Amino acid sequence: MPDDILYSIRNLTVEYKTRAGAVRAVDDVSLDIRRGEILGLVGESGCGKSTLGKALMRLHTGPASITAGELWFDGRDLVQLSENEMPDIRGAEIGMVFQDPMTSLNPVQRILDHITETIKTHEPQIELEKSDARARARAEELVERLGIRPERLSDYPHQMSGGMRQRVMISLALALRAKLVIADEPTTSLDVIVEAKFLDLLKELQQEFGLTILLITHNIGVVAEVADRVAVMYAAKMAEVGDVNDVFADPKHPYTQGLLKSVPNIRLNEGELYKMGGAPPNLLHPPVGCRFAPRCPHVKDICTKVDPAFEPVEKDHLASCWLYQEAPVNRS
Amino acid sequence: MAQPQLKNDSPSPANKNADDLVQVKNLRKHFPVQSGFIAEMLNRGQIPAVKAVDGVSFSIRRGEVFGLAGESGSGKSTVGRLVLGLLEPTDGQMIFDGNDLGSLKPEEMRRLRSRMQVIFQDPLASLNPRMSIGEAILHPVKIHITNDPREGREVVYQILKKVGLAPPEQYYDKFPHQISGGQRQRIVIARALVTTPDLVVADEPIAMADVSVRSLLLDLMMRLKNELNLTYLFITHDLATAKYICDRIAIMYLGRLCEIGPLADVYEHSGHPYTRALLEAVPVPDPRHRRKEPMPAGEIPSAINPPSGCRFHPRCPIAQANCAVDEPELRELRPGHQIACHYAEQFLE
Repeated sequence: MPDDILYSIRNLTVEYKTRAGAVRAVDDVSLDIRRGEILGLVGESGCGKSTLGKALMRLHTGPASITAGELWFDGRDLVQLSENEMPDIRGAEIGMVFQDPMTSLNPVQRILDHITETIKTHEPQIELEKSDARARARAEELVERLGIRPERLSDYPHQMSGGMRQRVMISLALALRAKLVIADEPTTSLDVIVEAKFLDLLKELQQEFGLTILLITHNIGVVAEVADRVAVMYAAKMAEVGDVNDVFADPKHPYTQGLLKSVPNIRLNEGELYKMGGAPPNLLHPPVGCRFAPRCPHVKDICTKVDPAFEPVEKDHLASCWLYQEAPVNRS
Repeated sequence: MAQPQLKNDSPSPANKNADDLVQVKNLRKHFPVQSGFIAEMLNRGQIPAVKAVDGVSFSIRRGEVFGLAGESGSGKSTVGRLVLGLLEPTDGQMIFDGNDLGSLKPEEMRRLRSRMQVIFQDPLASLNPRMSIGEAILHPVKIHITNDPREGREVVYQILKKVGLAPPEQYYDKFPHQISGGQRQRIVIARALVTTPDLVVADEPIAMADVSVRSLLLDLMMRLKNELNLTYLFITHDLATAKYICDRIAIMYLGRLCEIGPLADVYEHSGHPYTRALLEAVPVPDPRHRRKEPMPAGEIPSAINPPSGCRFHPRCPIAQANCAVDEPELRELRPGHQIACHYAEQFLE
């Protein structure tokens, strides 16, 4: 694995067992997360982006399981680790920020205790007598950096605003110097002004701490604002990955093209939004060939027969679309 | 389409030719905060209240899409409920087509209801999970249009076709969980429009839908508006979407309006520092775009004890000493465009 890649997802498949049959929520997905980047992962509800995010920490439970693929994180394949080894990765090396901080924080625990508990759990080598004071000092320093007055550490989660709670979630990841933060819709429950400030903070943390962030969101505008690269998912597959400027200026996959055109842009004066026809397929019975073919304006014969490979179409820009690939010769 | 006539004649408007369908006059809604018995004694009966709406006036013209935008806690949804008569105002008047809702008898109010409908954000929460789609739409039909089952069914079929769910027979007996989120919102729209209302209050109607579904729903709402001569009160936090459908827009902050006017004029010549910050904060789907102005400090304060003077002054980048004392009134500084800021002129050169 090249040194600049922190997390390499190789041909990952995650399946949900349902009464109607197995659903592949993530289907043969490969993606690299580079050190120090903010990678935006976008797609619509049900495309598998959150399942992918959870699988990166092996947080999926119940009916979901990884049925194929490798998860190379910083030199180790997490798929091969035992369940006992995972807690050292979760929280300590990979932090997570969810959409709704109120359900991620313990309502009867003060903010300070959230942070010190995290530090003490993962760093048991600190002597017990000293640990409280040291953990507290670190917590104070941390939240202050994130723009929360240290006095607020004795607050309970409900006493804080949504934006503050989301900053507390980030502080939990930073407390242990996590290498990767997976943020799943972190600003979706925030108002625009608070969202703008939170995004500014993410950028600063990326630069200051060299933090790597996987930003999962449905909000294309948020990705344009902070991400360095963007990955687009459609119906459990990776549709396109590339530098954010390249993908926005010259999207390759017809799904990305339609998606970008249907996003309202407050700075433009176009009269109407683009309307993409159809709906994503039912993943219990995905269509044969390219999954976007039934909705695609450029559909060709091959598209409904063979699934395109996820391949480079330009330097550092991958897409899975037959528009850019040679059709196989008479493969039956 | 042979639509059966409304069963009851709605109360006749006093001024049928007036341009305004809705007039809201100095509306206030204070929600008392529950406090203990002793606290009440200490306060000598002065019960603290959340001043959700605190003196709001505007009117909605017939046939326009009027946007009401603001952050959570600004009071925009409370205004929507007051306009519909779902909440009793603490003070002020709500006049619908010449009828003062406060002075109507319950029976008159009931008849007026068929002329104002609502669409909420979450279609799953708005639909009874144990009622089929057909029954859900038939419900208002039975109350306001016809009791005849055959006629009723026909009315439901017609509206299902109108919202793009064809053939309607296929959808009539389905339940909300059997269809997609976008289709559910179409059902909610169908149910709201089946009584051919004059006013539709749409409270974040597309906030839960995916990007590609959003543009379809917006398109549907606009098409139906033209077809059925509707007037929309469009409540939203999303200024980018508002741009595509609103004729006029009002910006709300902590229970008050800070700016109101034709949409293009408000966006291009915004005079209130809060409006300017909101517009600046909207994420732009273009990686080359960078925000220029800093975001206001802090977050929206409590509506129990709103700041004195201008409610935005503690966060305002251009606040002067008098802003903490004098509450600014809306002033018309451009044609049809009013701004509640003492120093708005500096942005309007």
